[in-house]
Amino acid sequence: MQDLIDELGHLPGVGPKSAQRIAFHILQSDPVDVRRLVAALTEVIDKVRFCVSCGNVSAEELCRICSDARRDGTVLCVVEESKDVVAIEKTREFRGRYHVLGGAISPIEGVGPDDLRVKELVTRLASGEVTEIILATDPNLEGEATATYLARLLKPMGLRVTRLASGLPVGGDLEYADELTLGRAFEGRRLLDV
Amino acid sequence: MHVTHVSLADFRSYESAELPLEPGVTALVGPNGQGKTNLVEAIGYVASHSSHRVSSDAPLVRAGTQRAVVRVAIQRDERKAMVELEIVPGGSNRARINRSPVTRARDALGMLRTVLFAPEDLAIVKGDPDGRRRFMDDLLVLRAPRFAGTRSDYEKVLRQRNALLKAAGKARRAGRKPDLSTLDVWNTHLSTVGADLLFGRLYLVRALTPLVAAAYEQVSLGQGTATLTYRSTLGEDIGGPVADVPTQYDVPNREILRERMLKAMEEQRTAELDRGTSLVGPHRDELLLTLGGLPAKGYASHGESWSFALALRLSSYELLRGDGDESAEPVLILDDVFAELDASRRERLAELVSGAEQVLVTAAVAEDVPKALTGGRVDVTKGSVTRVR
Ligand SMILES: Nc1ncnc2c1ncn2[C@@H]1O[C@H](COP(=O)(O)OP(=O)(O)O)[C@@H](O)[C@H]1O
Ligand SMILES: [Mg+2]
Ligand SMILES: [Zn+2]
Repeated sequence: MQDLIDELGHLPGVGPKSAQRIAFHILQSDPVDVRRLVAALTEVIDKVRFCVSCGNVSAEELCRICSDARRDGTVLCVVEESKDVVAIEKTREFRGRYHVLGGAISPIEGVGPDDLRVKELVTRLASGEVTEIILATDPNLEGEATATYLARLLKPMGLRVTRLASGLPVGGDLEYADELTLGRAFEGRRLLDV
Repeated sequence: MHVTHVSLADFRSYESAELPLEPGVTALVGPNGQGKTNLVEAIGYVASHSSHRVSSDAPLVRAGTQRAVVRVAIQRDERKAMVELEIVPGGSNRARINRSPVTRARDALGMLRTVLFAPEDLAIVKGDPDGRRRFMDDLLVLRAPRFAGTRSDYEKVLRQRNALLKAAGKARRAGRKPDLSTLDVWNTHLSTVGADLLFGRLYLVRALTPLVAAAYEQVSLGQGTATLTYRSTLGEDIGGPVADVPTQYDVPNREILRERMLKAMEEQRTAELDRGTSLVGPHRDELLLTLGGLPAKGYASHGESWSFALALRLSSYELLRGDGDESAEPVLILDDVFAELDASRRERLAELVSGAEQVLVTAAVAEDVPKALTGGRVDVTKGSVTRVR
């Protein structure tokens, strides 16, 4: 029982008290429901992996968005996490493809460019198909710093580098912006001057 | 402006407290340790989102509870407003204005303005540069609340940049190649926010300097000249002496300050890597207080230091009072200061503040409150608050 509580406690947003509550809830649940949860977890680790191209979670080697020929291959939207892809897809404003960095630059947490999927991004751009990069990192300090870093790195490659328009709640996470605000931020994206 | 009502819940020693207030003078009287300072600290917190006694918020929350609530009703001309702050140590504070929540607590800054005198003020004159920087930044935020964002952004960027320098220094000492690929990015961000903070401070010091000189003259009855000088790590030419010709003194614009800061970081790069920390910028600047040409710190007597401390607060009051219309006048709070002063400084301070729209005074015994400040009286004993006059 303690093992279960400890494991649950490692989940984001779950403190020791909630972990205990969830553990006892599981204990009292119908075993059929619990087995379904176990099956879902097993399937996730067995079948879901990261897209070799964009780094988004995917069931296949190449995710649905990367393999969808109707998507605009000339525009690439760079985000921190897979959950940001979900948030942006909901707005239906964006028809290009994505690149998931896997975080943001933060020396305090020991995260530098080498710890993010930056090399993969540069490799992806080598083919020349992409002409515009939209930097959609979070509107907080680490997200802004990551955007500045990437803009300076990519500028010499002659790409159009844009940043989501302000109006997003500053200091926040992209995923918490509502669909309308996020949609408008896409329309009003501006060229980054670095 | 003045405060018409204060409500506390789980703030310091108070499980709950209600205190109606009026314009003019109110003395809060009671033996030590009864909760007088706690009350005025709460009012000051609403104005500045920080305590004049402690740097962390944890002690503000009543022992055994998780959050404190301070609600203040404010009268500004004919307008009434209610500001409520929920203090959550280790989390984000929440604020409401007229019962509606605001996005960030700091959006409620500027609703109430206070100038608080306390025994701790002596440390601004005698203590470390950090206390003088805090004095400037607190006043800057009271005057222009948007600087609360600048100040907090600056601290965040600084922490990131310092972490980078520290890691790079460590790698270098271990014989590995330091990763400095993002240093330029942090330099950009630090210099942008740093220039804004510096710009705000320079403007502030320029406006404050003549007021400090005048206030010191009043408090000390013409004994010497008090001057402020802003010493910038970006160079001596920035923030030079401003007392002589205050009108001709020019504050460089933000763009110039930003470039100077970038240049200074460039020049200090090796030293910064060696030390593993950021060596230039507003966090290393100093506000020099001089008395008759000599630094107040180390030279001024105890009495002179007190006069200087009082002059800093009195000039803050004058500065805030001069912002816009009459309703900009801040509430004056004098926490236990009269007990610290000799008879003549007491009388002069009392005279100088007696005309203010609202003055809240705390004292252990009623005799500590000078005659010039006779007004309402509230007794504070064991956390119960009773108006007796
Ligand atoms: N977080 C807290 N929880 C409970 N009691 C507190 C807390 N902080 C301070 N106190 C109590 O408040 C009292 C001090 O009140 P204070 O207002 O400073 O006194 P004074 O009337 O001398 O100004 C002390 O008895 C102290 O123990
Ligand atoms: Mg006290
Ligand atoms: Zn993909």
